[in-house]
Amino acid sequence: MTRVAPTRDVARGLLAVTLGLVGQLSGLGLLATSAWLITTSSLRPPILTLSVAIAAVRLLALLRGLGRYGERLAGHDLALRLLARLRVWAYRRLETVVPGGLGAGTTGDVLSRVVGDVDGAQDLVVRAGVPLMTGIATAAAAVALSGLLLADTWPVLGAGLLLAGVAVPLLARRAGRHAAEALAAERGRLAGTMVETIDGAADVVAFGATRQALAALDRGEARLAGALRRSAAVAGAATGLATLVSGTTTAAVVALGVEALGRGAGGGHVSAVAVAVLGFVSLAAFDAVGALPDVFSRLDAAVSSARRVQGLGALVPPVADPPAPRPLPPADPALALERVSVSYAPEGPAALESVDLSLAPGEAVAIVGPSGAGKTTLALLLLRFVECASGRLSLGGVDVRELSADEVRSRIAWAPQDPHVFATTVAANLRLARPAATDAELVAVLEALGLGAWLAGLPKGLSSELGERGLSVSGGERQRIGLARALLADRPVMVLDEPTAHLDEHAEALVRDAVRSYAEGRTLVWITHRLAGLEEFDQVVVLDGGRVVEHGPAPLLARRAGPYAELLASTPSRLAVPSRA
Amino acid sequence: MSVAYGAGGAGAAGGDSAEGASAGRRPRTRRAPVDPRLWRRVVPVRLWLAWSVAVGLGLTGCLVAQALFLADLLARLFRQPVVGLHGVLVDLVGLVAATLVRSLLLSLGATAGAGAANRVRGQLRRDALGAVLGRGPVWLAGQRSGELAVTLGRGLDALDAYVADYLPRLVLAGLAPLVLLGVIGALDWVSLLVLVAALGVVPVFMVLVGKLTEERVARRWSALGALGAHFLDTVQGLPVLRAYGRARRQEAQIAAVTDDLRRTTLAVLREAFLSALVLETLAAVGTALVAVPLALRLIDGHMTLAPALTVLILTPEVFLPLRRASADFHSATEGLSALDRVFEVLGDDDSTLPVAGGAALPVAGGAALSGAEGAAPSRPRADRVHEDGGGAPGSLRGPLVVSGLCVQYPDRERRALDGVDLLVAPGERVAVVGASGAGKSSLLGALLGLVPASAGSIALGGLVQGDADPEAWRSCFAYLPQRPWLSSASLRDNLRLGEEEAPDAAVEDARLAEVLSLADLAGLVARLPEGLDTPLDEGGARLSAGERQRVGLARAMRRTAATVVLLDEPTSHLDASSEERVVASLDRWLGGRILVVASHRPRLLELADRVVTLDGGRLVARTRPVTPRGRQSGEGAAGRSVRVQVAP
Repeated sequence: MTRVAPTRDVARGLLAVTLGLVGQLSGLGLLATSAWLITTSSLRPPILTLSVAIAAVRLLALLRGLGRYGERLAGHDLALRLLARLRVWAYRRLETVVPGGLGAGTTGDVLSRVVGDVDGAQDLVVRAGVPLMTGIATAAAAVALSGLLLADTWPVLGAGLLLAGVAVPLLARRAGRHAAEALAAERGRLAGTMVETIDGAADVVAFGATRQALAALDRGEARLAGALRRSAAVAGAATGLATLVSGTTTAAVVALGVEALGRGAGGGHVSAVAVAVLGFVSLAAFDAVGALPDVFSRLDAAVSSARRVQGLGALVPPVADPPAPRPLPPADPALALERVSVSYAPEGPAALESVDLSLAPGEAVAIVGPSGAGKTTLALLLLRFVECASGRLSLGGVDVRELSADEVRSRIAWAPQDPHVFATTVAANLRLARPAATDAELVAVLEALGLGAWLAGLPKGLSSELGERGLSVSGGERQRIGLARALLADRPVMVLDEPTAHLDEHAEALVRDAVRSYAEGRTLVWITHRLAGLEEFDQVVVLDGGRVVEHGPAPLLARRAGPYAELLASTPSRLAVPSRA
Repeated sequence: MSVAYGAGGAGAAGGDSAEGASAGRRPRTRRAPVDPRLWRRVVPVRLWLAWSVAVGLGLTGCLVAQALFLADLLARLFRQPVVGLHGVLVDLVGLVAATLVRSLLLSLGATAGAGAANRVRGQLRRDALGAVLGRGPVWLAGQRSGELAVTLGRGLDALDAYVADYLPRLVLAGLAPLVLLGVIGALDWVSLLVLVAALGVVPVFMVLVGKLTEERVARRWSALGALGAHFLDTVQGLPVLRAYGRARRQEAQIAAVTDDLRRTTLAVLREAFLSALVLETLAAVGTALVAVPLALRLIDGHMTLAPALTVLILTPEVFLPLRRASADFHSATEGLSALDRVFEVLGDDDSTLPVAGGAALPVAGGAALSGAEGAAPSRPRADRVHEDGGGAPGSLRGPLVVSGLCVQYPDRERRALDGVDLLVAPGERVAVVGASGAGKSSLLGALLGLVPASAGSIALGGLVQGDADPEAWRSCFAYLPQRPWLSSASLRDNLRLGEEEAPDAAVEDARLAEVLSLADLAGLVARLPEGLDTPLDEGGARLSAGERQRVGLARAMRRTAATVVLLDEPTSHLDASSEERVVASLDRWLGGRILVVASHRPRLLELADRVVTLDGGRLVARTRPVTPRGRQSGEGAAGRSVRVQVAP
């Protein structure tokens, strides 16, 4: 992250630290000057000799708040500037690896954690870096000042500040690490218990197990309570210790002054005023390092966020373009897999193994199989989001590795299993697949997919905002928005991943018919775990454990005592069990 | 004191950036610092507040002692003849002793805070989970249950900081300034007047700042929310963007939006930080305003040094707790929002939410019962209606009488069940068929009392559901839902869901082995690494869908005291041979129990005495008699003649 920080940002960082220092040193100066003013006054000097100090006290009082205010704004400005660059950098990295390169189970969850880390890294500046530097610089200034006032005192004050501001918090973190981990683990476990119990509330109530569930909660709470107590005991001991160190250090500094003053009765190089000022400098210095324990714990979190973000740099894009891509073969969208194997990690298990499949232009193919069979991997492979570990995938007879992946994708419309709905209007969500689509076309596609009534119910029709801050979208609606994109995209190949998983039978049949008629003349790959209506497809491919275990027209497969017939038998069917006769 | 400054500095400096840096957080809403509902419901909170007052007084007392000792010590240095160390020994010892007491109080306070947090969180979580389970699945279905689970889990954890740290600081913020002002007033009333004036200005400035900025800040917050969410939204949609060749042009968009985010955030912060600026400036100016007059009066000889120094040391402490409490407020808000949700669940706000269970089921009491008798075609001639001890578990024998049953879900227009009449004789087996959404699962849920009836009645063995204790009622039923819920606990615990501790473990294990083999899972225990003690992992992930269903079935058959068996699609995940074995053992196990099964599988329909069809929440006339079972006639066989039920 430092490598993306140009000189101007270094200057901004210095500005924030300087402003912070102005605030902190003003606080220190205010107390020291006030102490000097009051103790000197007790010696009853002419009032004119005090006028500079009086003016200084008033000025420092104003600078105290203003410096801090300026530091906060400058720090946030810098942090957000760095954030903008970091986000673009992280996005560029993610753009080459999502969804194929983050492992098999790249869910929205993984991505939102990455985003959280990117945003958390800005704490490195505002909440850790700047306060750390100003705190340390202020403490150093106080130590220097004490050295000027009485040379003997600076090692004592310095040691006390190091102990209270750095050593005790770091020691406490070490001592409390075990307790903190236990606390996090117990909280996680209890959160899991809550999710599970609420998930199973109907069954828990039906079986009269409410008491059991509450007893399980009590056990979890008891463990959590112990962990919290242990963790708080360490934190409390650290606070107490730091307090004790700061109090005794001030006492020691003052005692040294008293002792020097006693000696000075003969030599006379330290005054009572200086000793009083020393005492107040010590007080103010401990105020400045008081924030450091919090800063250290934030630094920890921010550094580990930043590390994880840096890890994005090490991710290898699963699919690389050739140095000189060949032009796309004109108008021949035939896809062929020859003995293709795919795995997500170099030594990991194969998600697809030695798969042969040919998709002639205009053919409709259904891919079925139990979950984990490799159906989604097949879709990601066709879209060039994952690479063949061995074997060959060709488009129009040309090995896809000789083509630009973007251009291959431009031939394929895709509806993922759980399509993302962006926080924008319905129209913008659809037009990302075809920017030139007219409103009428958008409405027509939505109606064809059975979303006509849904659209009519939206407050602003196509201009209604969806997603996070707009209207919530159900699973079935989300899926059909994904489908609508694929239909609008107008591409020769369509790859639809579980397009009807959230729909009931009636809606499923409607969607299937709409897609079938839309796909007329296009290659259609329909991935599903539902077996209804597959008779209409040219061929059905049964995947299991990453292998093609059977393929052929559905009616033929149903009559054969093979994997497809087994799937039919084990599939929950709603109305009629397909005849096995 | 060093102490005063040191221990306090952390909080004062700590809370700055979280206030606005990351966009999407809500602006602060005004509310009472201690939620009155918390005070009313959670008794430990009251004790904790009382303890916090005591500790707060102790801490402030130490502070005053430290200031007095230090000021006295420094003042002694100005007297002639010059004193040595022995001359200030008492002050030094006093200073260190007060520090020691203070640090002990702080340590003790932290531990006590954890204890208080444990009690408050523990009670709230337990009450809330109890309330959720008490309200039942229909209420739960109307909630965003994922969000609710997170609130009761992680959300309530955020309350720890509120209880352990924020509350005592709040108490201190109310207490310490008053005590300190009292001490300062006793030493020098002029300083008191100055400080009271400065403190009096605080609310005026705050209101002024608030009024000036509130509207603009609120307006910008919503813009901030949208800008802050943009990056996450884009990254989550990245697969789609790449597929449609739109990913690259988002780079510039991200840079532009984040730049917008920066400008808007800074505009918000410039105003949001004003209140902190006011507090900090007043604290510093207060010190200056106290110090200068003190100096002038010292020159005049109207003042002595020791009280002047004491006042100077204590002045910043007057403002410190206020600064800290205000800086900490944001960290308490997360816990407070969880609190709101919990009180909503507990019904402290809203008592109109339906509660599942006998008492709140809107059954029309006696009228419904007489209606039921009238609607039933004939009083069952079965001889097994025991009316004795209706509440005892599993003791309700006799016919299951459903009359005029309606179920209306809160968010649906159409009724899920619309006037269902059904009479099931003891020992009779009824299969319910119908399209998905026809009301099959609602019927089973209503029979169990999980789904409240909006009209009509259900009676078993002459006892009306609404009159029965819900737990005792449900103990008469063995139930297998469509997707049986399995917890991450052991196979044994999953099978024994709702059972009390078994007196003899060996006997119990033998019984579990028996029901497992009834459910065609004889080999399961041997296959699992720790046998019956093997955890099934989240949602029973260790098992296949078919195994999960059969564990659910075994769990249902574990309930030998049940007289009514409700099965929802019990064999949907089973292959034909497993289904055959399961149905055969089910047939044996059922004996004289009533069976209501929702399924279309022919093998299960063969098991039934009759098949009724649900359509759109109504029992339609088309009721198919099936060929009588070819099994040995057992208990209740007399009532098993094929009967045609015609809905009006």
